[in-house]
Amino acid sequence: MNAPPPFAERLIRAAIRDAEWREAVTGDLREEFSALAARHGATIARRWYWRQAVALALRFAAGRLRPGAVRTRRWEIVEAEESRGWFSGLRQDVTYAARTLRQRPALTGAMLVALSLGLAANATIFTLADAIVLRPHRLPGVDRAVMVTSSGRHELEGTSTVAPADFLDWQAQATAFERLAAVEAYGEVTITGDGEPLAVPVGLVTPEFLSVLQVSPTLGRDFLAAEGVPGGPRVVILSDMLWRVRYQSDPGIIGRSLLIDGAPAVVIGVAPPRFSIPMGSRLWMPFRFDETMVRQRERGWLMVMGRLAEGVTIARADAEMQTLVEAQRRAYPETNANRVVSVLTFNRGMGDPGAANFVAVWQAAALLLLLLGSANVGNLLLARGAERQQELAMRMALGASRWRVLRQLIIEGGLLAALAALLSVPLAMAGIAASRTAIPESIQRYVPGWDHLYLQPRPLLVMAALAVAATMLFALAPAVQAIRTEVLESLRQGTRTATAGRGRQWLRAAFATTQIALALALLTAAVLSVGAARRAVSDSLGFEPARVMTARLTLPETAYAEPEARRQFADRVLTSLAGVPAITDAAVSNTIPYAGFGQSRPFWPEGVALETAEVRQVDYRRITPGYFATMGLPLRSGRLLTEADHETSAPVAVVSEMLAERYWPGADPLGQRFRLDPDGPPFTVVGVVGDVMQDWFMRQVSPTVYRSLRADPPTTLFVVARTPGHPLDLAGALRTAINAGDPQQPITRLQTYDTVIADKTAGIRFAASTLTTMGVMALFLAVMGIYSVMSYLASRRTQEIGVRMALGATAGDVVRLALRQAVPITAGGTAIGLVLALAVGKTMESVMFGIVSGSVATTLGVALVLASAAFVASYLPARRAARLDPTTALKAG
Amino acid sequence: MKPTPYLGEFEYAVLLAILHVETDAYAVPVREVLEGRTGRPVARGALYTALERLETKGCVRSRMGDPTPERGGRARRYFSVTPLGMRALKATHAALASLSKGLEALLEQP
Repeated sequence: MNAPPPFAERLIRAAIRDAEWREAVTGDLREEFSALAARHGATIARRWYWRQAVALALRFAAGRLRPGAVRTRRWEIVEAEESRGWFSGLRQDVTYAARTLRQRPALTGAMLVALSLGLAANATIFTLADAIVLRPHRLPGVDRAVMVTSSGRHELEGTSTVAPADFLDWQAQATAFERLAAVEAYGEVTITGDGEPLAVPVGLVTPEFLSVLQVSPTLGRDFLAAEGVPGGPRVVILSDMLWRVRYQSDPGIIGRSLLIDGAPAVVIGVAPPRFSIPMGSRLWMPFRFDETMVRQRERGWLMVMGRLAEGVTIARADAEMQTLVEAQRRAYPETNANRVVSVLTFNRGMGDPGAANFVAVWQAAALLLLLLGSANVGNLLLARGAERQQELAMRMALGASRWRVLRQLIIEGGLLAALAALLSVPLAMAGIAASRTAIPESIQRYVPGWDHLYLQPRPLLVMAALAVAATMLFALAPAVQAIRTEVLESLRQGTRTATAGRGRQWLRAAFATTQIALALALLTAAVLSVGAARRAVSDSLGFEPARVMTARLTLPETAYAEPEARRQFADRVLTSLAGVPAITDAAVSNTIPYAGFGQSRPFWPEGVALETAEVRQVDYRRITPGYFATMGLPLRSGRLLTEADHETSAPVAVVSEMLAERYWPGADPLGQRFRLDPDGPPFTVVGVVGDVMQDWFMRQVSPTVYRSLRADPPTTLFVVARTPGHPLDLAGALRTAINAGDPQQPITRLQTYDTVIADKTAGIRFAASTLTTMGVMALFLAVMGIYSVMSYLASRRTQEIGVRMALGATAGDVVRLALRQAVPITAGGTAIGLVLALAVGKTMESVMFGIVSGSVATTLGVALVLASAAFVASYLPARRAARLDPTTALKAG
Repeated sequence: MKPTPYLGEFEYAVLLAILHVETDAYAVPVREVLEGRTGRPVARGALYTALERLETKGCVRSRMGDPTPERGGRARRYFSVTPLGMRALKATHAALASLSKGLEALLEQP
């Protein structure tokens, strides 16, 4: 199950020449790796493996070079020099290139840092993109699997909600698919009777599910068609993890009967390791269409996945679905008029619609960073090229062909790229390791690609290609310039250098300007995302999460089929909590803001005639009276719900400010009536409470109806309690209370409210910190770039400065002279950068669901910071030049 | 007959470790014995190099076993001490023993 890192293994294989040794050594390592992984976990084992791989590869590679191995004799080199082939003297050139790089350690170091940072950022982001967005699901049959998503026209894109009757139509009529399966995710079941009660996420699936994904159980069998019909046998397939952990990998589990939600279900199979679709399911049970569902088109909650028939493309499947849905729209205008459908690749359909955009922004940022790093390298190479002009001219004068000289420079660039690529491997690994730790463990199972989030050969190859491309691009410009120069002139010029040729100066200024512009764009992106992340957690939420402890649980549907049973459970829990002195307020509700599990209902205000298509959904919240005090929700007018509002009293509700504003603008909302079901009872508004941010991702405050939980008790419950002390101290009290409610009832999640919010916002915080890291790197590279240009220019003009100072120029004049060159670069870079940054801000605003709001002030602020940094970077070398003793300066050069 | 080769300290230790493991001695258990008995860490690379050198000298012989699943389908390389290896071992041992003769009081002090 646990394989060592493939790239490390490849590394050893490449280093060992002897086939038998190769087999023995990799086998030994694999054996020890498995033992280590079993004992200390995969992460430690992988790290160990990498260490061993590097050590062994080095040793074996060194062994090859030892005496007795192939050795070049002197006359071979001479011979190579004389022949005129393309590769003649290559070795000599490489040696020479290595020596020149070693000669200037600071310069080489600066170039390596610039390049490898850019490369590592790219490899990290590419790995993230590949694992989380591009190919999160690596199942054998994933390339022919598709998702058929459908939603109402007014709903958010990506919320796929197929109604059961619609699905059955498709299944019967669509020909583009070999088979279609429907899945209900987000559910939970409780296993009892064999140890601690355990709540696990369940996937309710139609029997075609596993074969659509071409997954077959490692133990036992798949679902049968007969198990998918109402009244069929109750069977279950376990996930590998559940089987291993709870049932100690017992192969006799097949055929055993488990108590699931209080009723027996026979285990028929165990799924392959790591298979947890949908949404981290730990077991799968057949989804059954009962009689009402067969006709149900109003509300949809199913995910539909299909396997394309032989030779059918996604486009054709999509076209067929459009016709089917169009027919449904005409046949059932009441319910289906607004339905839209699309067929997507499996990875896209299952993916978070926002994640792709996030990663696109990252990838763009990473590429910008690489460009920045490359511009740096180009600049430094240019500087070196000027220095080496004499050397090159000398070589050409002695008969070296231009090609040979050019090749020399290209080899230097290539060597640099190779070194940078090598350096960036550990950097990228650190970046990926940091990414892995940035997402809290509790939400990792919702990130499907998490398992393969480590450095793999593919991004490394991409990175190596990028490295070569980038250095070649920027190494060639100076190289071409170097060989274009006339030999004689260079030799003559070299004796008393003044300023460099015009062309080169222009190129260098262009590089530096580009750097500043790119850095400004990147920094702006970083600052914007940090702002968004900060707002996501600390914006006025409308409630007070601090000092609140939360517990989530799902009552088993069979045992709690009667509403009365659920009511009594809630009562028992609240009675137990009321006896705890540390708790000031406590409540039970169907969900809490930021936790997901939101439910909505269509809203019909009384006295307003609305077409079915015009009806909008409102958030439907069921609560016990203590809810408002526990959550810190302010009452705006009227009264809150009390114990007197229950299942048999007149139907009343409290609404949110925004709902009142939307439906009864200017009027007093108190006493207004509305329905949540055209045939249901009318509710009377008795109070208005403050708005609440339900979810940062939507960035919207939804209109909300609060109703007594007693009147319509749900099966998924949140228990919340407020304390003046530390909320974690309430964990025990909550456990006891739920135990008092039902000793067989497990708690799915017990967290402080702050943690709930932190989990929910982990994505944006992660994105922000990634972008910030890249922004800081960009700033660093840009400052380094302008510093190197300015100090180079200053050093080239040392003689000139000496002359000027000898003729009476003051230190201030010299600084001004140097800065005069820096001003246009900084100003130009900032101006271009500002345009870029505003564009970046606009793009991020539109791409990232409006959670990012770009502001001109922010951009200007960033520009100011960058321009000052650039200015300091150019001032330092100028000041150094001004402090020179004129006589020394004159002699220099 | 080949001349008895000279054994380095580590090679001497490796040969002894192979003898301790007896049958089916491959790198993993050999290294365990080495580390366990000497109480010093042994780098895998060093062990492989020593085994390779010993084989070149003719002190050990190796054969490939059958591939096993826990090794990702790769075979083990089993080592056994050749008669020449035994001779070298004995010679080195005798040399060391004769050198230490008379120094027992000093060497066996705790």
